[in-house]
Amino acid sequence: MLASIWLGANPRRTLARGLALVAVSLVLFGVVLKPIRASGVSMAPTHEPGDLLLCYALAYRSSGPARGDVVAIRLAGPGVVMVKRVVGLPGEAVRIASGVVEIDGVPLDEPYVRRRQPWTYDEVRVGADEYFVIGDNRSMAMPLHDFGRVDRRRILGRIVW
Amino acid sequence: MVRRPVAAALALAAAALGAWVLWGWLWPDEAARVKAAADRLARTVTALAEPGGGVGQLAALDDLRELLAEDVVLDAPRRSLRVDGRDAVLALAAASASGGRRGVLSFTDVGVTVAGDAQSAAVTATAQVSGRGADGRAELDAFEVELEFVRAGGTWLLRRARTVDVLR
Repeated sequence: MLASIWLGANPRRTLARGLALVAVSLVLFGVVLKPIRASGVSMAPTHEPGDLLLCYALAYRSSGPARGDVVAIRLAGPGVVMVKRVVGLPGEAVRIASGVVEIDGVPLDEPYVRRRQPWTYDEVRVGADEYFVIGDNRSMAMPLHDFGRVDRRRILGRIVW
Repeated sequence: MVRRPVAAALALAAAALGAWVLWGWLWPDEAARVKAAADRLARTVTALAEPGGGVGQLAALDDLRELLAEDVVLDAPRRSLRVDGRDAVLALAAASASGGRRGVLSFTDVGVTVAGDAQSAAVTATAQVSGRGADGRAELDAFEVELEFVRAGGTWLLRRARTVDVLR
């Protein structure tokens, strides 16, 4: 009787459905959409500390990241990742003058940046298998903000939530 | 009702899993010992930074001394930091602890490669330092590290620690 309360009129079907749900969840959230808990302020205000993000791990199977994409970057493994925005593509020259990112000498329109400190960053050329990434929080001091060129192989996927 | 062969198979699988776990716990391989050394290092560094100072800090420094090779090198290129030798590293650790910085150090995504002669090991890991800033807000700093351990008298000692510049 207790089993009927918990498992309904057809316990086998209920168990089968439960197992199927677990399997789908494991595949969905283990392989395709990986949950990430945001920590740190480098992507504020777009993503605040404590926000739950979802990384679409299959986003770049056939093509690379696009400018403006927010991506997850692995460190030694997938357990802890960095979340940054792609602003520079392979082969481009990137520099920062008075807080404004310039791509091949042209100022980049960044509507997601609310406030800027007058950062200055000498021009670098993005390699063939690299992307230039940076956080959205430009109101913090530049030495406290990690940004730069990242190897394509470290990009795990695109943040979609 | 579960059939007997299935029940027997499940029981056998559970027993095998339990035996495997017990074996690994009783007789850890060298990679597990190296990882344990890295974890102990993280706990000792964390203990060094705990508030109170005094005898506790001295004990933690003593523990740290036992985990470091005499020719240990700390190398953080992005921070323009390089410290050579155990005494220098201990001095830096003591100064950092006295400076009031608090945090919990831990290693995740740890990968261990033990050399063929089992006298050295290379470790890659993500180091996380979590704590509270001056404003009381939770802070987390994470960076990739490469560690080199060497075996001395049956104990794994840290010889080299280097931060990896993921963003160049």
